Amino acid sequence: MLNRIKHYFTLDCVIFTIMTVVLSIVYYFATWDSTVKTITVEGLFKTFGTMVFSYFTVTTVMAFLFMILEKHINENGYIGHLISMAIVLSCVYGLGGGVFDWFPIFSIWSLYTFIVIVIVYTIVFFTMFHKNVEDSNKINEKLKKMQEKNNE
Amino acid sequence: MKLSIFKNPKFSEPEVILNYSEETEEVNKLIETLNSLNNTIQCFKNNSNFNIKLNDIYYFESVDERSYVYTKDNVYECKEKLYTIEETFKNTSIVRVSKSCILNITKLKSVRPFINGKFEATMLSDEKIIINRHYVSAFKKKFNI
Repeated sequence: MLNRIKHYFTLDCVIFTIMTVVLSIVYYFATWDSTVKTITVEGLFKTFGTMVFSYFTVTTVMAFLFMILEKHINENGYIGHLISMAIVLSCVYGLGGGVFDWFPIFSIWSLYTFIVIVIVYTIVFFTMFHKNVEDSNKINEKLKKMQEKNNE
Repeated sequence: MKLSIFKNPKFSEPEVILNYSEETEEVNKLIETLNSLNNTIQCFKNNSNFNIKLNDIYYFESVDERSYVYTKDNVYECKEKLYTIEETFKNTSIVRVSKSCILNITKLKSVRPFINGKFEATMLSDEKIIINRHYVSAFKKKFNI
């Protein structure tokens, strides 16, 4: 259980970091809210603090749902990816859009949000895949050494 | 159960001879324990019994509630369920890789990851075995990763 919590906490941190980086870039280039240009330094920190808190809440709920539905995600191949995507979408639209007002749900920003989700999901997905490639290389090296030792 | 222990310098290694009149649960448990100490498993094929060494086993597979043991050239059936095998040999080179398969990492040639989070294991016999996502972390741990 402790290992699973550790694993999902790491996953939480990875999603949180990537999401913060991507959304920071999006906010930086976004021009839809003119108040951003006139906001005070104090206000900016307050806004940033609220944003970070809301990101962390959303990613933590997401990681919790991943942990509960782990069995279904792991055993269903590509359907598992659809379940993962459903978790992400329900958290971002339900919590992010609905509770934290990240974006007006019934507007064009819902579509932009969807694009951001796809980008974040793809980056997390490939980060995980890259880790598996690295780990399999390490395993193959160990197997090679084991076989060489057995052949001696 | 009667236990007799003899110390004799003529034996180069300990020898256990088990005499019994009928196969009881106690006898089976004793055989299982002795087998696990010796890292062997009792299997059968064509009405003959075999004691297969763990070092010769490539993988265990469960099909239709029956357990099979795969070696380089043979397939045997064994009475034990996969979870019993896993428990008996828990500190050895075997690792569970799916609901229906346990493999011996000493008979593993290579692994490669799939994009869906699963791994594919290639055995020394070139057979391919899928490592399910749920078991990937335990599999990596077996290699201290």
